[in-house]
Amino acid sequence: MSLEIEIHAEPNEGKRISLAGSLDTDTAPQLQEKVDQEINSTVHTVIMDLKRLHFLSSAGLRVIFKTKKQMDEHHGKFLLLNLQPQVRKVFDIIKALDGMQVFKSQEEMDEYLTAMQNKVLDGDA
Amino acid sequence: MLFSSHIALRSDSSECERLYRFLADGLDRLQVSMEFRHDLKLVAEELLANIINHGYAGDSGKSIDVDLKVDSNCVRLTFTDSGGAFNPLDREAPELLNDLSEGGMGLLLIKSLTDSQQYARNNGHNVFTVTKNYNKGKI
Repeated sequence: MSLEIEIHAEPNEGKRISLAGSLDTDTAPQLQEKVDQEINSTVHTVIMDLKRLHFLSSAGLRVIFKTKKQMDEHHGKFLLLNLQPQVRKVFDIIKALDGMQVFKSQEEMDEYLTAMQNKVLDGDA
Repeated sequence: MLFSSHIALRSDSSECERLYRFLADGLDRLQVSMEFRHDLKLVAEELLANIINHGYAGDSGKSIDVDLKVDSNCVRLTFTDSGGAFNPLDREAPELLNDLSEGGMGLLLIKSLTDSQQYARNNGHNVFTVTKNYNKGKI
């Protein structure tokens, strides 16, 4: 199973990276290449949507962590969305969800982003 | 033993697909859960990546033998390579939360998702075997 990567612009200098298929030692370099092309310090939020990702190995996790680290370095946001059970299991074994912002659904994430946006508008953030 | 099968792979990550198909064909003969199949596929991928990256240090022209042996309550998966002596079990546990980008995650997954792991150095070969038990009542 190969990997499909779609990257779309989101409001407020955001990017959504949607993955489908298998993120493993064979396909992880493809994702790293896309991230290198698309993500830089002008991007404020990266949403990694794993709704159609069915397989994840440590090689794929490394790219995800590296992307999060890159966002942390310029105080951007990194959000994980729609983890399937078998993918979540991999994160759980590595105990890698600590410090990650994970959302079960688009609605849940939208609520969070709206709240963050309101904070900015109110001058709280 | 119920059955066994073997495949020879090149030490190249593009061989993942052949490895997955080999495993799927073998496990089709067992009534095991989707979760079991997924876990074993992940373990196999990690073992392959480990040999490519460490045993053969990125040399894609080498060979890797994979043997699947199934008995009435357990699946045994053996990876054999002719790279330099390398026992992944000797590696120290990774500082997971501090340094997630470094190696060690694969070994943690292998250990978590199998019931036993064994390394041997035989005649200039690394031989790494894992076993995973399944519910024999289902077969």
